[in-house]
Amino acid sequence: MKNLFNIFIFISLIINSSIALEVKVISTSGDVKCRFGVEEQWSDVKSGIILKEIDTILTGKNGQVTLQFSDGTHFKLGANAILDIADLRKVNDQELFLFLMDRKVDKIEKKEEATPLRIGNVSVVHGTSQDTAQLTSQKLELETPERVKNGIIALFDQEFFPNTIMKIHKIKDEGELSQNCGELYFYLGRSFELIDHPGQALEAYQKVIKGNEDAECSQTEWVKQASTGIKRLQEQ
Amino acid sequence: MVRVNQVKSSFHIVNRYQMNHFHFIRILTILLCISGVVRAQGIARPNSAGIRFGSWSKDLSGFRFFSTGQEGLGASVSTFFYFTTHFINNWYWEFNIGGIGDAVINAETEEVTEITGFVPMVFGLRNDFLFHQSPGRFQPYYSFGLGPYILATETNTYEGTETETALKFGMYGGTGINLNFTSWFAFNVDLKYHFINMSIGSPASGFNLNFGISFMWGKKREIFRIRETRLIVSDIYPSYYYFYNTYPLALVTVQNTAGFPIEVNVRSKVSPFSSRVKESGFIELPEGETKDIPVMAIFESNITEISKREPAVLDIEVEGRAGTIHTEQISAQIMVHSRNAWDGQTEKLSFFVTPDVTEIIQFSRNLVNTIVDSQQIKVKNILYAKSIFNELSAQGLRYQSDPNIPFYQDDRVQFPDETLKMGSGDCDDLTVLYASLLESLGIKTAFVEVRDPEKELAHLYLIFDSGVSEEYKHLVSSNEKRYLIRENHANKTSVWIPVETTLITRGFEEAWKAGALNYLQEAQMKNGLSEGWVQVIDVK
Repeated sequence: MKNLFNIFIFISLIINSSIALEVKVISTSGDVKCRFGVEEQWSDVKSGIILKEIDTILTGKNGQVTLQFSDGTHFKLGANAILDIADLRKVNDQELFLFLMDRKVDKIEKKEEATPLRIGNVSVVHGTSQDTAQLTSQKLELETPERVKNGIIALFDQEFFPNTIMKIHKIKDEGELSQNCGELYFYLGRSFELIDHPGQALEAYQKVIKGNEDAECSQTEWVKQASTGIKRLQEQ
Repeated sequence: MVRVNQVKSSFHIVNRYQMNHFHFIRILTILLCISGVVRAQGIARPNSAGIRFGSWSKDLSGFRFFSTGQEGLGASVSTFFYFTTHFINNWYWEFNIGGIGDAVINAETEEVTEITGFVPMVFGLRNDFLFHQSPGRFQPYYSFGLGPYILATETNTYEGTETETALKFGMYGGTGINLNFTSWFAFNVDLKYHFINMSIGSPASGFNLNFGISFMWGKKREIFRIRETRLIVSDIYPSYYYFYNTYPLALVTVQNTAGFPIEVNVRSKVSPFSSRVKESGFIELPEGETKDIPVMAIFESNITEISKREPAVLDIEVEGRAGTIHTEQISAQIMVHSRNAWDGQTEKLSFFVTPDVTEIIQFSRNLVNTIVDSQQIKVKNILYAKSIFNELSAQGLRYQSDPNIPFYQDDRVQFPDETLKMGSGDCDDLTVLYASLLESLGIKTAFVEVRDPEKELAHLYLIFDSGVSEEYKHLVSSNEKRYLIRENHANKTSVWIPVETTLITRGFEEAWKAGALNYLQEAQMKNGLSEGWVQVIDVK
């Protein structure tokens, strides 16, 4: 029986993962760019283009983009956000469970502080005309933690809760989670709560409070919200 | 019976044929010396039969075959037929039937005045107590048993002949030595004390010393049994021949059936590809235990010259020793493949990576010697990799599928110098060549093996260590999808670059992009890594 269950999960994962995700850009406003696959360059996005799972989309301070899935549903990415199209792939409970289990099994203590970015020596290794300094500065300019956070909030707001959880975990793996006074931990807790995972939600809320104590954040909004969440869960 | 007693007293009469202590010890010493010189060869067979001749005495000092005394000439001889069969461990059943005769001859008339005889028919047990410790063919034992003794006395007087017979029960205990000349023939010395009428005090009780010969038959007694032989490697691939020097080709399951601890040694060789015998060394095998003993072989380097598949025989000899030695031979057929054959296991592909071959070192060093830029020291591995790849491309190296060989299931991999000479190769040939060139510069590499369940054929490409630590990953690319971060043994992370080596004609940049795209889609997005159909295997 257990084997059958495992086979079922495996097959469902294969089927799920083998369907390539594509989204159509149906409207843009302001500054919207995309990066195709493994390219270095960012390109301007126009309505009507198709973005694939391997691509990344980014909005400027005044930018906004609406994406359409193959089933006709929409996803809106607000200003100053960055998101991998792969992060929009529908994630079911089983996939989320396996993802979280995988992280538990391979759990390696990551440093909680963000890796400081340093500009090193200039090099040209890609055969392109752009040197690393330019690329690095472009990265610093475009792929800011603020944009990443806004991308996550967009996922949360449009009820992509498993995707929110997975994205936050990926950021957590890179050690970039504690810069926001526990805000992302709050979204993590809330997403877990909304998909009925109270244990993990409680754990995330507690990290919001602990994170604020450690980091001495002046902002207490997330602490309040997390405390409310804990109370709510305890009453259930 | 009174007469019998009188006859026996004559044994104490000193005469020149008497066997005293000195003679007895001298014979024993000679036997011991012979047994020490002759090395152990056989092992006791389960059955034996023999004949012994000897003499009889009330005590050890009085053995004599012939004597002269006050009462006339005397003679005391014995003859025994005996049969033994194995019982358990060191124990044998034995059956002795014989005759012990004692005669007194009148010195004047030269007529036999009295004959006393015993016919023992005794059944007992013998224990070869040094069976597993005795260094050679010398096999001492002790024995005991019981049975009926028929006593007969014939006295010749002037009045006529008087005969008395009696049936007595008795028992015996004794010791002896077997000296095995071959596995079927032995010389025997046996000393027993017979308690006739179950009593030491009985006038007929006494020692019996005999010398004899034994003939053994039956299957040699085994001290171990080969329970199973499992062939682990039935196909030998010459490219990784030295791997087999430390990896077992087979497992032999040996059970100790001796009933005492033994030592087992396994010898093996692959005919005709190994000139030397590989030994496991003597392994202790406690009483009754079973052990799996690995069978390995030493292959000579000329095995790498084989251009087509050839059958070979794995000869295994299991030797058990415990004083005596018992050997058994088994053999199994194996297949030795051609030098370029590969069994498809990616970890074994490392054996084709030869960074220390002169042509490879020359190729890579000639190129990188032209790259001198201290400003770019952090990314020098990438510069080297790019330079080598583009040079291969410039030399016209191209992708070429393996030849179709009928009935030949192996994949074929070219050694790096062969690919350089031929100017073409398939994905594994090109990957092996590129890995060899990078490794020759000290750049760590790893194979990425893709066995996509949706595709029929497996694929292979390379990743290499840029030497750039994770901290400086932005120096490599602004797009994190173009590389992967790997941790080394010292828990330090660095940036690794995927390269699709089949795109050799399109240059490094395109090959990098394709490699990165492959890795992104297959390993990450399609969960190939977590599902196990994408594997990263370090070249070691």
